[in-house]
Amino acid sequence: MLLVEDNPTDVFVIREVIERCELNLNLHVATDGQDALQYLQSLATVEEAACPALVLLDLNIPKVDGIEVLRRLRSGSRCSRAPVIVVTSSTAETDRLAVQRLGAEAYFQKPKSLAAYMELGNLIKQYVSTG
Amino acid sequence: MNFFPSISDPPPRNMPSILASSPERCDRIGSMSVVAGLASGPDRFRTLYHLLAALSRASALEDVYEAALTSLLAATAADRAAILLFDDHGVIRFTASRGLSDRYQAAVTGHSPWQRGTLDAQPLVVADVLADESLAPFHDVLRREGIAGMAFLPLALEAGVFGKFMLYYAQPHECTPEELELAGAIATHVALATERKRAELERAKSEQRFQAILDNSANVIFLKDLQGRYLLINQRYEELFHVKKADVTGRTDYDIFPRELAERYQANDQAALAAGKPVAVEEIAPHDDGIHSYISIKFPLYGPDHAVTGVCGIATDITERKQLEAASQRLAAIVESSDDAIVSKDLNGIITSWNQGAERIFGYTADEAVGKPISILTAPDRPNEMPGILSKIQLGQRIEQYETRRRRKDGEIIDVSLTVSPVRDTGGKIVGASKIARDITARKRAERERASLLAREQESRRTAELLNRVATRLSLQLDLKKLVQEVTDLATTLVGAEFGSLFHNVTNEKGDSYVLHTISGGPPQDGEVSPMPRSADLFEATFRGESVVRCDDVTQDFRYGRNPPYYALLEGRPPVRSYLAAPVIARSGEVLGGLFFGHSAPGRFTESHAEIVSGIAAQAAIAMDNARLFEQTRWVQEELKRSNEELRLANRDLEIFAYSASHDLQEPLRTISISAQIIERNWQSRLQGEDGLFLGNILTASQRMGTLIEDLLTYTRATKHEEGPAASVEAASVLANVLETLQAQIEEAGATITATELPAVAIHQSRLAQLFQNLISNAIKYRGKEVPRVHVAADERDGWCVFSVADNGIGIDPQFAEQIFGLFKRLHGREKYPGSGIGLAICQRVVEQYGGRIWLDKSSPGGGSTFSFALPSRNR
Repeated sequence: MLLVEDNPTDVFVIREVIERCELNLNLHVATDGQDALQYLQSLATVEEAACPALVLLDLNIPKVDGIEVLRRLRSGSRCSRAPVIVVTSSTAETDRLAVQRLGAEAYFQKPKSLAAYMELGNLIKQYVSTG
Repeated sequence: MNFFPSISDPPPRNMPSILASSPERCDRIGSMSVVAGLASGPDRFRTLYHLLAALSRASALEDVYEAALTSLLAATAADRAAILLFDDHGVIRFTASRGLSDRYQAAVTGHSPWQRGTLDAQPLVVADVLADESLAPFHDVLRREGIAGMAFLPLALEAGVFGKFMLYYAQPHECTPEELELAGAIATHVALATERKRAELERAKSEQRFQAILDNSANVIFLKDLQGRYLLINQRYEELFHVKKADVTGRTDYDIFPRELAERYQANDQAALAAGKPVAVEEIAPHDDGIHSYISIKFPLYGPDHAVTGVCGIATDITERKQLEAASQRLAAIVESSDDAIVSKDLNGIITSWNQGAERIFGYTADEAVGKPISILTAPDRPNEMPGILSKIQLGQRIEQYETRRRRKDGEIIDVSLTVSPVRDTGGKIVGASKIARDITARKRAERERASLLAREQESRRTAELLNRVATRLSLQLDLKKLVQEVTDLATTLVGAEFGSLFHNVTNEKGDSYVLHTISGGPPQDGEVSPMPRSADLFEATFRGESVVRCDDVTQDFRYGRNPPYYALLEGRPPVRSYLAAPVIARSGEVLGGLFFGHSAPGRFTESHAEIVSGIAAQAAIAMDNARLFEQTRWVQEELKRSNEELRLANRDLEIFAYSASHDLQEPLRTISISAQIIERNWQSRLQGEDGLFLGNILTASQRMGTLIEDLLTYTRATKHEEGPAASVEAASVLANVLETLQAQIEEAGATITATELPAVAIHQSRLAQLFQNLISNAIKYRGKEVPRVHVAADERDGWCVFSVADNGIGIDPQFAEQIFGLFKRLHGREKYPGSGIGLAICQRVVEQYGGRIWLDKSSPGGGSTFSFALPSRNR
């Protein structure tokens, strides 16, 4: 599973959410877009490596922003079908539309309350690819 | 031929003196007394008796002669006898003879001792012809004829000798007195008888001649006696009435004609007789082809003793004449009654007839005109016309409907239409001309007036059309510069000016005002800023906006500048003499400028031109007004566009800023909050006393900050200037939408919202929605114990729409009426009434953006509140 997020607090919380899901998946965290893309690229070269079962993508990340990462992922040759849940604090409708158009599975608004954050777990369980 | 002794000579000596001395014995009258006076034997009686008998029986002169010869031979010893008479030429000729040869007769014809008409002729005896020397030339002839003795016996009447008897003796013979007497008696009788017969013959001849005249006459001639019986009719009478002379003679009119006619004829006859002299009467008589009319001259016939013997009548058939007369009268009546002048003239041009119409039209009476030459009517400007007409007539041509002018007696010139035709005599020769003249002055005048009216109407129409086209063209031209040039060019062309100019006031965008002028027809000039023309006098009237000025020669007009250079509107041009100017005045009355036209020749601009210019000036004013408006509109629009663009950019920047600012501010807050929550979760049991409180504070404060940032964003968004114009919106429909939006809150509170009729108002729809939403939401939120009731009302006054939102909530202490509109200002704790305190602040900003105001109208703690806001009315 790939998590693209630069805010450590959010990383901390999302890790907890994933653990609660009990999916037993490795979690790779990329803190900026470039890092993420490189990671995904690296997957392409390793024969045995499987695509991430799920990508959790923040939009507001340095270097290459989340929309671009999503675009490249979707238009690339490797793992273009990997399920993506966008986890972002952006309320902009344009972002939501772009994300939808680019074929992300879900759009999760980072909440203010911890309790609400746990809802992410349902989405993860729903969209993680199992095969 | 006078070789016989004349009667003036003394009678021959052989003549018995008895006869010579008693001429009365030779008197032709009283034959019997003469006979009785002679000592005659019974032979003589017998001879004379036979003679007389024979004479009375004689029907012809020949009979008379024969009887005479017989008597002579019987009564005398003559062997032979002859009778000779003078012919018409006075030559004596043998008329009858016994026993004379032709040769002898021929030889002695013409010889006579007497001439015709000789008076008192006496018998002449030549006893022995051969012994008579005076007869010597005839001796041979006599001898041959066997005549020895001769006796000459004159035949004479009152008029003298008209012939002679000749007695021829074979032997020389001395006539005895008895012989001579007897012969004389016979001669007398014969003379008488001859004369009688002659007279009879003459009379018969005369009668014949007379009858011939009568019969050859075309007139009906007749003679009746006093009783009305016909004595004589002529051939014409016979032919017409189908009668014969023989049948009619002795008959009366009653036998020939119907009673009424006969009565009339008789009456006329009597009238003639009564008059004693010829009378002329009109009578009618029936012909085969109808009734004919006659003029009968009837006169009494007098006998030799001056007694009336009868009535003679000569009747001329005047039927045709009467018909002609009637036709002529009708014609004359027509001519007289005609309104047209009917005049006839001879070939010399002398007027021969003149009707009433001519009197009326030309003014001359018939007396004045007839006999004068037709040239009295000649109009002064057409001296050669009449001879021309006359010569055409002489050629037999006719002139029809020829329009010309003539001069009346009073000198007035009139228009006439002539028809002239030749007049011919019965032989077909042209003897004159007949002229019909109709006074067409009135018609001509009407025609001229009509033509001039038509011309003027056409002129007006042309002018109107012209102006129409001008108007159309000008109205299409919104570029002021081009417009004024077009106006100047057009107008200059239309009035035929040598040059024209339009001076006009211009205000630019900065508000500066100056005068431009355009030129047409002059040398090309820069149409930009130029000083006002110096010759202010000339232009002043026009710039003051007074009426059109038209001057035929401006150099003569004292009103205008006298200095010669000032006459020239432009330098280097010849001085202006014809001048035309019109002010260009806008609908508002503002003088936009003036049109000026000039021409170097005087009198070039007519009233018509002035009208055209006036029309163009009016069109120009409208067009210029429009052009100005158009330009101003363009500026305004551009300004608007620019400011709109600025606004848009500003708004965009604001939005970007607001959004990113709020977002960037929110992010760290969220992290603080999440982190605090994590700590709280992880350390909740172990936190002691106040530490837990402080942790709680962190959370609370960060939440609050988050809200504030949101509210700030909302406030910023809510109070940016809306782009575009504030259209008029129906407040009622906006309220309805807002109530839908607040549905959940309304239901939850169980609130009732009412509203009066709401007007339309000039405000962006979303803004009005904001106002209603905030106020109504507040009204519901700040409710008391009662079920909230909110009432929305509106009132239009003084050009403002004043809305009010009244509730029955907790009310507000009036001292805080101003404060509550402050940003983030609240009167109550957040726990009781959520909200950040920006609602009213937003409302105030919004209302102020539209030039309006919002205020707490009335309120009291526990008594509800009424908020009012005023917006400019749509109708302002």
